[in-house]
Amino acid sequence: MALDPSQQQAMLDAVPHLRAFAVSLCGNVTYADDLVQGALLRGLQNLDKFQAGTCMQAWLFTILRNQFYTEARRRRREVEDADGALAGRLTVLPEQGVRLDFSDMQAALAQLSVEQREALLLVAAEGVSYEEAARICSTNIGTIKSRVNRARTRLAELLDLVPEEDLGPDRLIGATLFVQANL
Amino acid sequence: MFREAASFLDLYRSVEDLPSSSSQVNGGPPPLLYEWTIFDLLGGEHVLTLLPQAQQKTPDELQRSRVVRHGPACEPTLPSQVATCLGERLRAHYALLMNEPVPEHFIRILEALDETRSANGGP
Repeated sequence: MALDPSQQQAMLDAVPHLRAFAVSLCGNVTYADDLVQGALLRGLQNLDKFQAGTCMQAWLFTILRNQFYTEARRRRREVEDADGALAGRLTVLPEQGVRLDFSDMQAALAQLSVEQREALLLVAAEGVSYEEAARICSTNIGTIKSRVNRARTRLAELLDLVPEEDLGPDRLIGATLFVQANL
Repeated sequence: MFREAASFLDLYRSVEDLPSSSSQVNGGPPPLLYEWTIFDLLGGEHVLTLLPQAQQKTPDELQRSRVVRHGPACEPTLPSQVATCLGERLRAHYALLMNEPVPEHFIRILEALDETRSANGGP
């Protein structure tokens, strides 16, 4: 069975999402690329198990996540980026201020538990439904909602977000909007 | 563990059916902290067991612990302004990662594997 062109396109379209998810999850670009590559290879090897009509991206997310946990258990390693090296390895960050904001967010994400981090990334950043996130994480919707809620609260603490302060768009948001507008 | 024989209708009430603290304040009957362990129909003996948690906790504590176990009230909540700001920052962070160009080798992997699979006539 040859790879259907639509499936190949769906896989290619999923790559930026998989990379963003993997980098945010593990905090290391090289390791994230290994995870994405592994997920693509595994997906291709098991393409006959993919159900037509379902979401290729969600399916690949599940594969990537399972691979991440399998390797984490095997190697007992948790990749972190405490020194901010991750930001330096990305190519599209336009200025130093944004780089600092990016590093702040990545450092804060790294302090969440992996379960909370993945739930928050899927729902609040990737925009998948609670139901889909529950399927990807092999748990129930209530657990996902609870993890997202706790992750949000913890992240707000870590980033010192308090209602009294000016919470308008910061450098990261401004720069991202600028980049998006000029694409 | 403390045991005593007693009348079923007078004494049985499960812990989950404990009245709220407010009803006790308003003069309701105090909760009886027993659980059925044996109900022997033939012998007619009703044996109740005082629950271990009932021996250690007051009714108010039991009520509070039930809220902690099941109630959504224990979930933290963020002010809407903070939640909005956090969501924007998180999406901006993610958008930066999404804007990273896809490494060429991922595309080559897909193409090469596609050719291999086609040549072999199957997965």
